[in-house]
Amino acid sequence: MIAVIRKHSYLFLAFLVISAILVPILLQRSVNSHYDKVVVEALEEQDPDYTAMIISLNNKTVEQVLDDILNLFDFREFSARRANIFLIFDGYINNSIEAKIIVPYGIDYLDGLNIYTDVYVINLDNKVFLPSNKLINSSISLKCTNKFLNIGRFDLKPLSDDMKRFLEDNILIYSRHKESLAILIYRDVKYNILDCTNVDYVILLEDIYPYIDYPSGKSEPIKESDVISWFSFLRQNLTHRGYYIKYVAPVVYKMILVRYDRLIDLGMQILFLSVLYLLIVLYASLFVYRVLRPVIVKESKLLLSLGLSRSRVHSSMLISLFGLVLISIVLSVYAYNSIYSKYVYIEYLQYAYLLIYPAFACILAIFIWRSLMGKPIKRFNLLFSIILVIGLILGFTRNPIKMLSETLIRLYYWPVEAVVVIMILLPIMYFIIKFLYGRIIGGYAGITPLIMVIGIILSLLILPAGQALAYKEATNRVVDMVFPPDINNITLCNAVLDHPLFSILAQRDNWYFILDGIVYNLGAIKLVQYSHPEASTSIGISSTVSPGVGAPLSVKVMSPMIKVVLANKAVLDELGMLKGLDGGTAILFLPLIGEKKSLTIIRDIISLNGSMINVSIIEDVTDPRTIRNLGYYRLRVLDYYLPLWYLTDIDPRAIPPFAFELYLRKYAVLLIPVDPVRINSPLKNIIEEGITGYLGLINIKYESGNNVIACSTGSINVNYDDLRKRFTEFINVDTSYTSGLFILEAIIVLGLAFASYYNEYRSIYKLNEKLLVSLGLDEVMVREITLVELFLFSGIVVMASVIISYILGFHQSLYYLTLLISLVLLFSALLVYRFKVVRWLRE
Amino acid sequence: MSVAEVIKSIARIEHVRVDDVKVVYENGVTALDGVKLDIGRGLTVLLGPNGAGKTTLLNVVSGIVMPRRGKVVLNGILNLLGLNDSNRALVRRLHYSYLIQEDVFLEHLTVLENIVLPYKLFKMDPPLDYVQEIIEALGINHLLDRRPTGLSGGERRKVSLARALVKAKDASVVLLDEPTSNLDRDSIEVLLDIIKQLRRDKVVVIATHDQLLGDVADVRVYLRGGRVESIS
Repeated sequence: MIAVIRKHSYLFLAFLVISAILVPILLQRSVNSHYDKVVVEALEEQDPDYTAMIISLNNKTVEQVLDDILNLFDFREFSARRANIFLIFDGYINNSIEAKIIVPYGIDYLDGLNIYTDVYVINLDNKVFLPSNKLINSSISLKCTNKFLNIGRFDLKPLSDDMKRFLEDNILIYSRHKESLAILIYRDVKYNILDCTNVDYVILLEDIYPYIDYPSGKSEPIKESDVISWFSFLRQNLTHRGYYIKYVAPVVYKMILVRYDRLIDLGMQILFLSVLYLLIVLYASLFVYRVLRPVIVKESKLLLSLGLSRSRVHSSMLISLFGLVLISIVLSVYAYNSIYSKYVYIEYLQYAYLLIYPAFACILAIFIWRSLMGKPIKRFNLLFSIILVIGLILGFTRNPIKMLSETLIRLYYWPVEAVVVIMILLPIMYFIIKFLYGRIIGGYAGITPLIMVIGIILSLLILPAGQALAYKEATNRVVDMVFPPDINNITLCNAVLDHPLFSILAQRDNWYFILDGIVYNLGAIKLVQYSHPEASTSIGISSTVSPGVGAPLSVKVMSPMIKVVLANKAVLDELGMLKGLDGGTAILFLPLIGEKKSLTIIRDIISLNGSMINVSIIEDVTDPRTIRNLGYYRLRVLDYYLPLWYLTDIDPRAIPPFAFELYLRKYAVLLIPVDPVRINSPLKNIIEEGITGYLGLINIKYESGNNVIACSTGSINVNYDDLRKRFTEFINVDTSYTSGLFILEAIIVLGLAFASYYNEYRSIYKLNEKLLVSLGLDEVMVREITLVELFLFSGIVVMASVIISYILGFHQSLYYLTLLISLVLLFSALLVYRFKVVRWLRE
Repeated sequence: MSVAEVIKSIARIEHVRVDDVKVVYENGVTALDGVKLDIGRGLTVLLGPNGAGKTTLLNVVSGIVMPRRGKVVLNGILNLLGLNDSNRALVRRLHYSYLIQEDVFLEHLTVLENIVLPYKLFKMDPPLDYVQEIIEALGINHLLDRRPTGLSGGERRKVSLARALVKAKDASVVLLDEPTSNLDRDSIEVLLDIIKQLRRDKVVVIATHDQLLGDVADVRVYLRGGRVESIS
């Protein structure tokens, strides 16, 4: 019977590990495969030579996109043939691409072209206020002259005969004549269909947001039909013309992941998955222990009888046991982490790692100790050494040194957090080790297992409960920060200045405002003006070429006391202004923290000035990409640690981690929605209706046709309470979808729990069954009774808890917390049942 | 001279004295209580009902189980139970061969590898001729390349016996716990022949219910309730 149980236990263990790995993968893939199918269906009728060239901008840095484009073509080859290059842009976003890609970066790339090669940048958009020729020309003047010729912008919707004629007469015919390369780069194929008859290549730049902006200004969520329509368009309008079009990026895949981001309530994900992990760890530990214990005890005896010392036998057994447990943990954590971390990083997995680190450290220490003290049991330990190494590699998919340094940083900079973690982890580790060791060497664990169980349960309760509170508090603070309570006539300046950060900053002599985005420039200038007119050294730096608006080459400085310099970052670099920052406080105004450019600025500042500069980041919550990360911000506002690179796709190695963590830790992040320009945002209406007025700061008027932006102060009465309410509703994003996912995961965990406990007590049931059968009952009936009893207990407990949580669970954290408690109750019930059975058997 | 060197310097163990040994398990059960026994060369068989303490006594004599009180003195000079864990293990490794009651194997090794495990474990060369002799005697040649999983109860016992008997070649104390369980009559006869050879120059202690072994014993020790009831 033991052999049978063991055999099935191994199967279950395998099932457990495989489930932990496969379930999230399958879930993810099942969703993705559906959308991949859409892509396949859209493309399957196409000749392989006529595939759409789609470059997703989402989650890519500007350089990456540029690389994607430029790597597709050998411009220098064309240039060597004295061919001209035509880059034709369409779509208002492409103006920013045009600006961001071609101007700052493309110059370098194209700089080596043949001097006879002209690069024509053609803007086909009609929704841009400022002609991009100024933008281009101003940029050209920096480094590269006579390379770019901006043809101008044209209204191509619908494509007019005039335009066709223009293209043929002025560009394409010309290009044909010179064997030139013409590339059409555009987005928004949905409503802006361009006749691309005479271009050589078509690149579809897709900046996938969860919303599509229609010409009317209305935003709608992306639907599957949108995707289909895009590809239908490609099929109908591109492929039959014989262009070589290449499918580059899994755009739809990206899209669905973005949708994930949009929908998932990260706080809850963190909360719940952390619980799931701890449960999985618990199950894995219990089961590996249970499965292996008989083997371990017997093998121990054998090895002892053969002359091995007890310490050697037990240490090797312990290593084996921990090894297996940890491998399962690492694999499961790795699986989850690899799936989610790219888009939704589960910070609390760090705690799983924190659980693993000391365990690994113990194992390695034991290994070292054993290798010093005596020869290991060769095959036995070699096997587990290999497994451990594999586990380490899998677990530390990132640089292990960095991972360890992160842990150390946390423990160093987050004393409270560290104390909590240590308080929870140490007893657990102690009890686990003591329990396992005690059981192995003779079963005198006594009350220790009970304490261990209590400790684990407490930790399960404390961690998520604390996190739930933190989440709630963070949410409130975000709302309060953006819409401070009890203030009816607030200005941006006051909102910012009320923050404790500024009371600290006010003591500094030198301030540096590093700005990104024209609106921020305005806000920052006002900020400086209002707050510290006496500030002696303040520099505002515009690091951006404001997309769609034009470079803010001149902005009226509102306070003569303040020296404000607004310029392109490239200029600043050349002027060495960044190097001039010394010994002050730098405040970054960044629209998107995920932009590598912004990160580069931060990195430059930090690397140039080290600890002399304090960095604060003021971000725009109105941007969808920022909204996507609201979960992070919630944590951040509470000074929760968050490695910056988890917000981005930036290679973390490019960023000095210590510096970042230090500075991000220093000050809370302010979330200030101040950008009424962006119309992508779901907050568009809110912004239009009131943000500007609410801020009471400025009415912004854009005067197209030149680069002068006039600003005036003013105030618009808005319903502040309504704004606050709407914002609160907004950040409490819809979690129905992910709730379903969580419930599914909960069911899986419950299934695992049930299966594990069934397996655990099956031997008892067997005894029970044998007894009943021996008393004359039918064997099948007895087995059914046993199963029914078990199901009944489980069902009653779970159903009761779910009902209670549904009634009480107005907040999701309560629901999940209740679910967790229900699991604990379930275990308790089963334990009680077990003892009852045992007692009954004894009687 | 260190204790380990002393242990290594012992050529053979000729005599084992169990002195007032008391073993109490965690659950409060007294397994041995005041057991005194002098065991010399030859065959000593421990007899008694289940729970009498036979296996526990073997465990004490081997130094695996530490009694609450008492001594196990080897050759009249070395108190096995006074040694530390590693030195006790050294004594077992150099001077003991112990067949434990359960048939336990390292399942990932073949039968042959399990038989020579006592040597391979310590990176020593097994006496292959003797190994072959034992294997043939027990009739398990056909099992050598198989894994222990799937062996019958009798086959498992034979493999366990083979492992212990191979180790017994270099041991001066041979402890066998229920060696005849699951064995057929022919195999028991073979085992008896081997034991008769071993008893000539070794301290052989067997815990058994098999009267056949009792009949050939030099000394029969009857245990009951953890006490020595009689010695004959």
